[in-house]
Amino acid sequence: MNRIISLNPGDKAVVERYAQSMDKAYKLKLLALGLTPGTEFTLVKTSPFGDPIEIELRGYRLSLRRHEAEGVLCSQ
Amino acid sequence: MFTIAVAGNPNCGKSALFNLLTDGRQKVGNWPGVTVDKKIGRIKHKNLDAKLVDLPGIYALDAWSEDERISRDYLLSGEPEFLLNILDSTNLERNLYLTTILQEMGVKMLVVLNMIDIAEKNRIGINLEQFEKELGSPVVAVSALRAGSKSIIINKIAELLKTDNKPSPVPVPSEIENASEENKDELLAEWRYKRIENIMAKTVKKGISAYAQSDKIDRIVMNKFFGIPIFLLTMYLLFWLTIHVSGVFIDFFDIAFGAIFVDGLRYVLTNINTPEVIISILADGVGAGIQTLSTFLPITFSLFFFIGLLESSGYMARAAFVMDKVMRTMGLPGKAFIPMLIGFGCSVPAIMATRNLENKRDRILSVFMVPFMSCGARLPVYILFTAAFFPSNAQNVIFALYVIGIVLAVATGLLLKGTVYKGSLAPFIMELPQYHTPQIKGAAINAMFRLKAFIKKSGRILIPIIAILGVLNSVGVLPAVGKSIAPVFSPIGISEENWQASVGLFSGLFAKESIIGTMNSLYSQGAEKEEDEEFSLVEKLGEAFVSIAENAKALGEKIKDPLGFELSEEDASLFENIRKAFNNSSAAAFAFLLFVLLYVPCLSAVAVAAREVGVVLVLLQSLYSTTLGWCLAVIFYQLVEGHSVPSIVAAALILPAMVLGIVFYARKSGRFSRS
Ligand SMILES: Nc1nc2c(ncn2[C@@H]2O[C@H](COP(=O)(O)OP(=O)(O)O)[C@@H](O)[C@H]2O)c(=O)[nH]1
Ligand SMILES: [Mg+2]
Repeated sequence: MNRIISLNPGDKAVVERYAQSMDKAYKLKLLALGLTPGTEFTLVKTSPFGDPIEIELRGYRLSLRRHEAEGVLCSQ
Repeated sequence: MFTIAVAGNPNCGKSALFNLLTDGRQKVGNWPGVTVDKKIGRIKHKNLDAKLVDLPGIYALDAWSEDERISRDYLLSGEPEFLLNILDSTNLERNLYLTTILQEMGVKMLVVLNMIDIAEKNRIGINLEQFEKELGSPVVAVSALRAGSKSIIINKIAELLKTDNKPSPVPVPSEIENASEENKDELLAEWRYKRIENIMAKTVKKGISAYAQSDKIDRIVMNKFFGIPIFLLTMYLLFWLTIHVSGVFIDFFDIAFGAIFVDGLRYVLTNINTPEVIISILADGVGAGIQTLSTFLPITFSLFFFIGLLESSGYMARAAFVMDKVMRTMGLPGKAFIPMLIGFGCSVPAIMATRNLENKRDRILSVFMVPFMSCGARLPVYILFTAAFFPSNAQNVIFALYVIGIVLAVATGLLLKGTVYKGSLAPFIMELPQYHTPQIKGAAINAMFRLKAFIKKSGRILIPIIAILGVLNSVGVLPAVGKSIAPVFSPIGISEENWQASVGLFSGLFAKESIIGTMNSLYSQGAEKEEDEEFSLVEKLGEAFVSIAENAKALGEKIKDPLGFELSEEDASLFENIRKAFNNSSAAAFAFLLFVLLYVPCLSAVAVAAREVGVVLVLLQSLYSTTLGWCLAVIFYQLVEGHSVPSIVAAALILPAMVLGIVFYARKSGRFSRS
C-alpha cells in the first residue's frame, strides 16, 4: 500500500480505497472529482516547497495537500 | 417570471456565458470559485424572456459543502423551472459528474458544452448527436467567446420549452441504494463515473494534451530553485507598480476633489449667504469626507487592476500554490497571502481582497492580521521620526517596525488559530489554470467594479463619520480633545504638554499620513497663519492636473534611484519642533512609532472591514490592536527610559487580560465561527 505523501513527480499510482479516518466532506469531494477506487493518476508537479502537489487524472489536473490526501490509499 | 438556474464546475465559463446571455457584466476571473454570491440577470430575446440565476461553481450536490448545499437547496426549492448545466468541453469526464447527479434528480435542463473553441483547437472530437443520445439529455456546443452562442442557447431552450414533459430521473441501481453506509459513497461515485466513461468511450475522441504549453512555463516558474525568487520578484513588481502608478494620481484626486467639494462648495454657499454652521457641515464635513474617500480611489483601482492582470495570466493561482505551505502555519490557505501583501500598500483594498477567500474564518483571520502590515500611509511618519531621532540608522529602525508588524500579524494568526479556530483548515482543492495572455480590458472592468463597491458601501459609513469629525475640527474642539486624551499617552513618553502629538494621533484616524501634517501645523501655530487666498476653481483644477505631470516626472527620477527619499528644507524646523516636544527622547519617539504602527487602522479601513466581517468584529479588532499598541509602547518606553514599575505592571496585566477577554468572547459569542 502506498501513500500520496511519498510520491515523487512522475510517479503513477492507482486509488485502492479510502481510509476510515478520512473526513467525510473531503472524501465526497475527492470522489466527485474522480478519485474513485481503480482510478489511475500521475503526480505531475509539486510546489517549490514540496507541498501542495498537482496530480493528473481523467484527463485533467488537480492540486491537493499531501497530508490531507493521506487517507487516499493507493498502489503503484 | 420564468426562472433559469445556471450550474457547473468552477471555471467552466459560467460567468462568461452568463454575461453573454444577459448582456450584463459579471466578474470573470481565473480562480476556481470566484462566484460566491447569488447573481441574477435577465435574458431578453424575442424567443425568450427569463430570469437567470448564477449558482456557485460546484462539482457535486453534497450536503457537506456550503456552496453545494446552497445550490442543491435552490434547485429543489422549485423556483428555477429550467437549468442550464454548463460544461467545460476540454474536461468533459469530470464535468459530466454533476450532469449525472442532475439527471438522477430529474431536473429539466439543457447541457451546454462550453469552450468548444479550445476543444476544437486541441482536436478533441465530440460526436454531438451520438453524445446527446448516450447521455439522454439535450446538448448544445458553444464558445462563450463567440457572439452567435447566445442565440444557439436561447433558441434551444425555447424549443425545449414548447414540449413540457419533464425528463424521468435516471435510476440509481438498488444494490447501491441499499449498500451499507460505509461503502455507499464510493460505490455511487464509481457507478456514476462508469456511466460517464461509457458515454465518453463511445462518443468522444481524445485530443492532444492541453497542458504542454503551461508545463513548459511551469518548469521554470515552479522550479525548486527559481520558483521562490520568481514569486518574490513578481510580488515586488506588482507592489511597486501599484504604489507608483497610483502615486502619480493621488494628488490629483486630493486637490481636485478638495477644490470642488470643500473650497468650491464653501465658495458657492458663501455667495448665496448660507449660514456658517451649514457651510461648515457641508463643506468641511461632507465635502472633506468625499475628498478623503477620493484619495483612496487611485490605489484601490490600480491594485485591483494589476492583480486582475496577474490573475488572468494564470500566475496568481500559482502564487497561492507556492505560498500554501507558508500560510498554512498560520492556519490560512495559500491565497490569503494576497491581502497581506496588499496590506503593505493600503489596508483598504487589502481588506476588500479578503473577499476572495471562501471561508468566513479565513476572512476574519485576515481582517485581524492585515492592519499590522505597515501601510504606505504610515511610512511618511516613520521616515520623519526616524530622520529626526535616529539619523544614523533610520533604515534599520523603519525595517524593525515593518518586522514588528509582521511578527505581530503572525502571532495574531497563531493566537486565533490556537484558541478560537482549533479545528483544522478546510481541505484544499484547487486547479491551476493554464497560462493566458493577461486581459487588460477584463482587469480594468474588474477594478472598476471593486471601485464602485468601495465608493458605495464605504462611503455610506465613512463620509458621515468624517463629516462629524471634520465639523468638530473646524469649530476648534480638537485641541481640547487632544488635551483631554493626553494623559493616556503619558506612560508611553508623550508628556501632557505635548498634546499636539495626541491630536496628531487622533487625526491619524482619518488617514495615518495626516499625523505629520496635523502635528506640524499645531507646533508652528502662533506663527503666521495661512492667508485666505481668493478661491479659483479653474486654478485649483489646473494645479490638480499639473500634479499628475509632476508626480510622473518624480516617478521617472525614482526609477533611477528606487530607494532614495529626501527631506525638504521645511522639514528642518519641524524636526526641531518634534525633538523639543518629545524632550529629545528617542525612546519616546520609538514608542510613539510603535503606537502609530499598531493603533486602530484608519477609519476607511474600519469602514470596509465592517462591510466584510461586521461591525462588532471590526470594533473588536480595533480594540485589540490599539490596546496591543498601547501596552507594547508603554512597556518599551518604561523599560528603556521611564522606569516606572507601576506602568510596566499595568501594561503587562492589561495585555494578557485583553487577549483572554477577546478569546473568551470569541468562544462564547460564536461570532468567529465557521459558516
Ligand atoms: N477560449 C474560451 N475561454 C473561455 C470560454 N468561456 C470562458 N472562458 C474563459 O475561462 C475563464 C473562466 O471563465 P469564468 O466565466 O470565470 O468561469 P466560471 O468560474 O465558471 O464563472 C475566463 O478566463 C474566461 O474568459 C470559452 O468558451 N472559450
Ligand atoms: Mg464565475
